[in-house]
Amino acid sequence: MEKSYVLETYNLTKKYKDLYAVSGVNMHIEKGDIYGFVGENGAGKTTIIRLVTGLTLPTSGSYALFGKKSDSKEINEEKRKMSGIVEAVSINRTMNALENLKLQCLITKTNKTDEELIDLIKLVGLNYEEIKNKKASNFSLGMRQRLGLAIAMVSNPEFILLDEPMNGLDPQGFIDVREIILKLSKKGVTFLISSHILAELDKICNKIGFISHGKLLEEITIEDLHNKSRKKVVITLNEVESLKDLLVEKMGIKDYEIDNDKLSIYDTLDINEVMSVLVNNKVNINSINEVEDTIEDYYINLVMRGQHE
Amino acid sequence: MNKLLKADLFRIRKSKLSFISLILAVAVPLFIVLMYFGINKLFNSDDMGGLGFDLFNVRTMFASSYSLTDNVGLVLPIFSAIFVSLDVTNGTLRNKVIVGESRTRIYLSHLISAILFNVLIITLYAAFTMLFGFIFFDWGVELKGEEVTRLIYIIIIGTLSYVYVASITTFLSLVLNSTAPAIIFTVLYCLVLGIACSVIQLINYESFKYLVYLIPTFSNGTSIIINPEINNVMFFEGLASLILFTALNTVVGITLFKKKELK
Repeated sequence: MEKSYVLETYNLTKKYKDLYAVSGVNMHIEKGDIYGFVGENGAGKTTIIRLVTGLTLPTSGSYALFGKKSDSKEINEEKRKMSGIVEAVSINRTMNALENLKLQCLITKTNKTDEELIDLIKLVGLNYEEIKNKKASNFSLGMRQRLGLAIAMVSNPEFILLDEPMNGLDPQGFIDVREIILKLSKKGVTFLISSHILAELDKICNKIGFISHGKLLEEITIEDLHNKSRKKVVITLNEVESLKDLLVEKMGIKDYEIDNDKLSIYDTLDINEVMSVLVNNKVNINSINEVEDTIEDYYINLVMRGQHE
Repeated sequence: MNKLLKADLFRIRKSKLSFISLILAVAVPLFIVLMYFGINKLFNSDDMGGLGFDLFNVRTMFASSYSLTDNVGLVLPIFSAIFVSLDVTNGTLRNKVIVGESRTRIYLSHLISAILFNVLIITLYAAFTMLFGFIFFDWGVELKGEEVTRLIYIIIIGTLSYVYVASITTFLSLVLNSTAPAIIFTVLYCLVLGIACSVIQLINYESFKYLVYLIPTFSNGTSIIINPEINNVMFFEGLASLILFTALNTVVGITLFKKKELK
């Protein structure tokens, strides 16, 4: 049976003069996915989000939302199931939080009582009693981010796009936003999240899209990513060069990286065997760990591989 | 579009500028009428005869209350440009696009809300000018027959001028994507239009009357009261020009806005 996607793009391309901001992107987001977008600054993450939301028009290619093509008449109907924060938070700064939510209710024709809206304000971690008479212009960056999230949630959308939702949030904010996303995901809401905080994406996403220089390098589920991730033994010590020479000589290591006082060995090794070599040769180390590549490592590896190819 | 219009009117209603506009619509007429009264007391009104019409009556004050270069007439384009362009600069316009509202609907909703705001304030301003005017002055001529028609013409042409201004404001605010340039260009445009028309009309209206096809606000309250004979052609040509230019602005504006990269 053919999969039904919430969002599918077909060779989506955006060109600015001679620069391809997005080039032939084919991405697939299924219902209930929390899809993380990973890429360097200017990789094209925001441009893709802008293209899908209609803020920018594609140079070529198209997309389908809930199975409806972007050039079909029904596309606007499908967009009503969507909402999001793109680049900066979109709030009316001359209004307070409740008025901002009421405005979004009018735009999306959502019937919600003041009590329901206040509950939403509280859900995103804003203290309603403290802010009820405050204009949004007096909010901190984190408070605006939280209000933006509440605005995005007001119409009970089925698909939410979040461009850097953790911007300006404190550690508690990270936890709150993560919990909200996971809670909504359990209810079947689909997410597309672009973030620089890759550890955070690792905690919430079930699928990752790696993008570089406008091209989608790979789409992978978190499960597959962890299966494919390279395991490494990381040793930190002062005399890293001499340890490297020792391990090359004694254990024949070939695949390794040196980063300041850190030696990362990618060859399949038994950590106990390494430790006995260290003990036998009286090498003083600070730490030794067996770890798995992070999303960041995986991305760097992917980009490096792409450059070599 | 109904919901978008409700949202835009909600924004306008919640803005301090709306409150300020309402105060101006009442306070400025009172100030102007009192000023006219003072000047009339200080100087002999016959000294102003060179203008070609009597300055110290409700008729003149009422006709000039629709002027684009006077008081509230000058403030309205600024305020409506702020209302429209703040939706762009705050990013709240993005929320409308993201949830699937077509750009045509968004444009038209802004246009209609700007028109409603302009028409409401200018109508209040003109009405209070007339109300306060009648306390100190009379209409100027007998208000019956042809003069009633003239009054209706002034109201229609004057009101439509602000509909046209709303179309300029919406056009510049949505196409320029920024508040300050939108305000500057709107005000400059209205000033140039207003001043050019007033000067030409005072020099010789008849010789330049065909300018109405190029300058939609050429036919206005002042031109209607300057002419001793009521001029139906002038009124209908002015009316057609205003409607045509408003429609043209809107069509061009929507076309450009549809292709616009939204911030």
